[in-house]
Amino acid sequence: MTLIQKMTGWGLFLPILVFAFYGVVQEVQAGNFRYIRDQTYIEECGACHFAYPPQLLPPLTWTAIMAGLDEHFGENAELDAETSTQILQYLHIHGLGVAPASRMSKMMRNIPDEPPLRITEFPAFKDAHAVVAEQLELTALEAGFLSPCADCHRLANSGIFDKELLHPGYGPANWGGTKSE
Amino acid sequence: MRIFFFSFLWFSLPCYAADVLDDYLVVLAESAESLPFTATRGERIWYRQADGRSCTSCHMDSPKGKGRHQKTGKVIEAMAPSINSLRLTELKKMKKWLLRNCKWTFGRECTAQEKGDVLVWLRSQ
Repeated sequence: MTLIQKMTGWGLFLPILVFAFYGVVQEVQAGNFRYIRDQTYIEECGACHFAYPPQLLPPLTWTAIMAGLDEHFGENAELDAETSTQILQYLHIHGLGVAPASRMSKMMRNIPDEPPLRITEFPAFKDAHAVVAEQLELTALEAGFLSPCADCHRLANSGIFDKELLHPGYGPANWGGTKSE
Repeated sequence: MRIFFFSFLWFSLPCYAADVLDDYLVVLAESAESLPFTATRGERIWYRQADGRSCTSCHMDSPKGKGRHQKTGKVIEAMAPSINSLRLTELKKMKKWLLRNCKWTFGRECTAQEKGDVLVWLRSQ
């Protein structure tokens, strides 16, 4: 290998490293890597539905949800006191608005004094999803249509909901057949 | 030598699993009226309808098949230990789900008798 070949090789490779590093720094600053997962939370809550990242709801709402687990949107989701306390603590630490500003801070927009219990009823959520029905060429969305986030947001499990990171040709992958997990 | 030790651990796993359920059944038996627990009664509970709700609403007809949460659509792995060896191996989980699901399905907690019968039936699946 000649010196010139080596120099060209490094000349091409180094900028890639630099840009990769820059990208990671940008992401960290944007708060994308701040989603701390909790195994208990994912196991307990994720058993029945997508384990919504805590940063989607303010602590006040999480408190209300955890206080009413025996009537959890029509389902019984009771937990023993110890597990429940542990999960609530996790939700409080990482809930919306407590952590440093993140991309999810948008969810705080126009939040009423008494925030709704459902993520899908937050004004910012509604705004962000107002175009979905039109885009999927549907007149109205079925109840619960928007609940399994990961059907469209392919990085939802990592707490990333960027518009650019939707499933290609998005829309619930297998809607009408079976809902995804 | 080590391989014997590890294979012993590995093969003793199922015995351990059975122990958890056996221990729980002993506890349940203390407050049951009609012993021994029977799979026949257990099966009847699985299919019992209560105001349009039953175990099969989410677990589907056969405990050997996958179920689907009625509301959220999330897949529920098979309940039968012959298909899913993790089932009936954790006391905490058994207690939690029997409490929740009896309340949702029948609108009340299940009796020790019902729990024991259903567990015995599930184990046979």
